[in-house]
Amino acid sequence: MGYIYLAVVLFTGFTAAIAVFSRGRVSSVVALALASVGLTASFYLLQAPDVAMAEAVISAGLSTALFLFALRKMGIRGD
Amino acid sequence: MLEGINRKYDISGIIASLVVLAFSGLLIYLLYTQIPYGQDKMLVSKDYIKMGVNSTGATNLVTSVVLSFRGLDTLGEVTVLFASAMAVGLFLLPGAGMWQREENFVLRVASRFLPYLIILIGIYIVSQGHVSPGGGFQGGVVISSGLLLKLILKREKESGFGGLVHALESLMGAGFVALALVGLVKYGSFLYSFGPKGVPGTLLSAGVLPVLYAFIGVKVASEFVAILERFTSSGEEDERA
Repeated sequence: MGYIYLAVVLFTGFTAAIAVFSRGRVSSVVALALASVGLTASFYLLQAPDVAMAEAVISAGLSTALFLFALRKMGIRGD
Repeated sequence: MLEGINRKYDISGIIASLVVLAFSGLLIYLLYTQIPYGQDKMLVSKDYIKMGVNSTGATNLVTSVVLSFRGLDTLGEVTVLFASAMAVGLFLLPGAGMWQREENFVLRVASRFLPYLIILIGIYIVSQGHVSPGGGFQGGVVISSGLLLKLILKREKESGFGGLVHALESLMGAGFVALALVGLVKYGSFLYSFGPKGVPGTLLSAGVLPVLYAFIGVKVASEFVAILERFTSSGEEDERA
């Protein structure tokens, strides 16, 4: 499990850094969704499937959609 | 206006990140030095693990904690969700004009059958919450994301879900509190898990917990549908942009 977990943590950190430092708003939101996918995997590997499910559904799915709708309401489209 | 924000590394940002780094370093240091690895100091969690299945009948231990032992916290959680949905409704006015764009082919074809499959998965997750990982919160969000597909395409007809969503939400919240009060009046503790326990691990077990989770599932789904409805409708904000 050690190497898989290390890879998942690195993936999460990398995508989170992209989400913070990316110039485009939409790509930032997508990177945030990817980061929470990595977080979901790490929750699952740490034997918390309930939390993993909540993280996947709420953070990777719904909040991404809400961010995209909010950007659209602000008049920012994909770049 | 916001373009230059990545460029400017002013002194306050550096100070703030240094404070955050120092504080998180302190937390990690305390975590590794003060708490012995592998042995917990919590006493109440051992009791939950030991008698969880026997006293509630739910094989998912998380569910027995969330709905029975610490059910009052769940009531607070539901209240927070309700307040946030209300705040979204307050700030985002429902718009008369809807999406101004051509219909996407993929979206149109997918929204014929995909929402029902997603809603089915959501119902499964809600109904199995006391047996396997899942439950009302996760399943409710899955249901609402299935309805989101319907919502995106429905806009030009302006129908939406409107009043039904709010009626369901209030009804389910009232049902949750009513069941909790039945436990208080008849058995002496708020959110007491009464009802036939059944065989642990089967669908019809754990007494009142599946009913509570069904209430929470429908409530969460309708709250999120209300929020998404406000977000997908183009209100007054779009006229200005």
